[in-house]
Amino acid sequence: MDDAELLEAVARKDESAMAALFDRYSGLVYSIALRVLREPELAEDVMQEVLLQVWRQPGGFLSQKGSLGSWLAVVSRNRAIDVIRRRARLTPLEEMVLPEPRNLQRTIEDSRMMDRVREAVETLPEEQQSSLHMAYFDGLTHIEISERTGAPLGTVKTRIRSALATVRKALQV
Amino acid sequence: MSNHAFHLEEDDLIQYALGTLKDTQLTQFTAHISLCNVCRGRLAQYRTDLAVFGAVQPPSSLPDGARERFLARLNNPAPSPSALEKIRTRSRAYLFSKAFRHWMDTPAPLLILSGALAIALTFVGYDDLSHIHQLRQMQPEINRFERESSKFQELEDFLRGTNAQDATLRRGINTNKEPEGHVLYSAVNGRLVFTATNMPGPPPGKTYELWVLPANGGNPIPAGTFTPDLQGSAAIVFPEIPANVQASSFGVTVEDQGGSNTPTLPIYMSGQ
Ligand SMILES: [Zn+2]
Repeated sequence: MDDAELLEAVARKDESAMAALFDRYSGLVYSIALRVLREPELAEDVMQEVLLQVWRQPGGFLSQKGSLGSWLAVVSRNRAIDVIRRRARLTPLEEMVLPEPRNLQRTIEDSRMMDRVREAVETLPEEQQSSLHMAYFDGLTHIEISERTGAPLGTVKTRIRSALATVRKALQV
Repeated sequence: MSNHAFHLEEDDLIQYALGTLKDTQLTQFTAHISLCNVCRGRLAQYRTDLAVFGAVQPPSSLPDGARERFLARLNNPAPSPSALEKIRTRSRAYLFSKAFRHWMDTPAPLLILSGALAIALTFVGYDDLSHIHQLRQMQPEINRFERESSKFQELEDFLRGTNAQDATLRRGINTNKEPEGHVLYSAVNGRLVFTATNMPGPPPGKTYELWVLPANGGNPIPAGTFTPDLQGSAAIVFPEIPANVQASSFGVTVEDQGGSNTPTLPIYMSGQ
C-alpha cells in the first residue's frame, strides 16, 4: 500500500496500517531527532510524538499526498530543535509563524527522484555538508557556524547556499 | 507582488526557512514576507529543499522495544510522563513571559503585521495540524487581497504611516492571556486594520463584530466580523467603512452569525 492508502486506513483507526507506517518512517524520524538531540531516550520521545500525531490526526497528512517522508522529516527536526531551545530558553520553532509549505505537495512521488537527491547530498563537499548539518541539525545561525568553525561568515553563507542549490538541482532534473 | 524596492537576501531566506533568525530580524522579515509574493515563493522553495534534505537522511535503527512502546500508546490517550514532557513543564512559565515581553517590545505596526500574518500566511508551524483546517477557512479573505495587489501596497503604506489613529482594545486588566485587540485607523480615507490575540471562541452561532464609534455621537459603524483561530488570533483588514469619520473609540461585541447593523450590548472590549 502507498502512503495515502495507509493514511486512509489509519483514519479508520486501523492499527496494522499504523504499524506499517511506523515501520516505513520511524527510522527516519528517529534518526533526525537523534542527530539533533544526541540522546536516544529523548529522540524516541520525539519520534513517538510525531508518529502519534499521524495516528491522531491523519487527515492533516492526507492532503500532503506523496510527501509524507519530507513532511515527517520537517516535523521531527522542528520538534527536536524545540526540545533544545526549551532547554536553552530560546524561542521555540513551534511559536514561529511559518508559511504554508504548498510546494511540498509537488515533491517527489517517485523514489528515483529521492535517490537522486540522496546521492547529491552524499556527494556534497565535506565543508558544505558540515555547514548545512550544523544549521539543520544543531539549529545554529550562520554567524554561530562561522564562530564555531572559524570560517568567514561569507564562506559559511556560500557553503549552505551551494549545498541547497545542489539539492534543488537534483529535484528539478 | 513584485513592486517592492527590495527583496530578502538568499541567506536570510535560508535562515528564515531553517528557523535560525533572531527575534528582531524574524519580525522584520516576516513583515516583508507577508506582503511579498515573490519572497513567499522563494521561501517555499527553500523549505522544500530543506524538507527533502531531511527526508534523504539515512535512518537509524530504533532502540530495543521502541516499536512495542509505540504501538502500546495507540490506544492510550494519557501518555506516560516522558523525559520530553518534563522539559516542557519546566520551561512553560518562561516561554509565557518571554512571549509577553516580546509583545511589549515590538513597535505597533509590526505587532499588527505579525497578527495579520497568522491569517496571511495561513500556517502556524509545519507540524501544527490542528490549526490547518481552521486557518484554511480564512483563506478566501487573503486570496481576495492577493488578487487586489494594489491593496497590498496600500496596506504596507498604511502600516508604515504614522498618521493613523492607534487604539488598543482591552478587557479588564491586561495580562498576557487577556483578550486584546489593536486598531490602526485613518479617518481621512476610512482605512482600518484590526488584530486581536487571546480571543476565546464566540458562543455557537455567534461571531465577534468590530465597531467604530464616531466622535460626533452618530451611530456606531460596523467594521467587520471576525472569528478567532484556535490560538485566539484574528484580524480584519480594510473593512468597508466610510471615509472622514472621526472616531472617539472602538468596540467589539458578540453578534449573531453574519453580523449586525447595530451593536448588541454588552461591549465585549473597547478602547480609544
Ligand atoms: Zn520580497
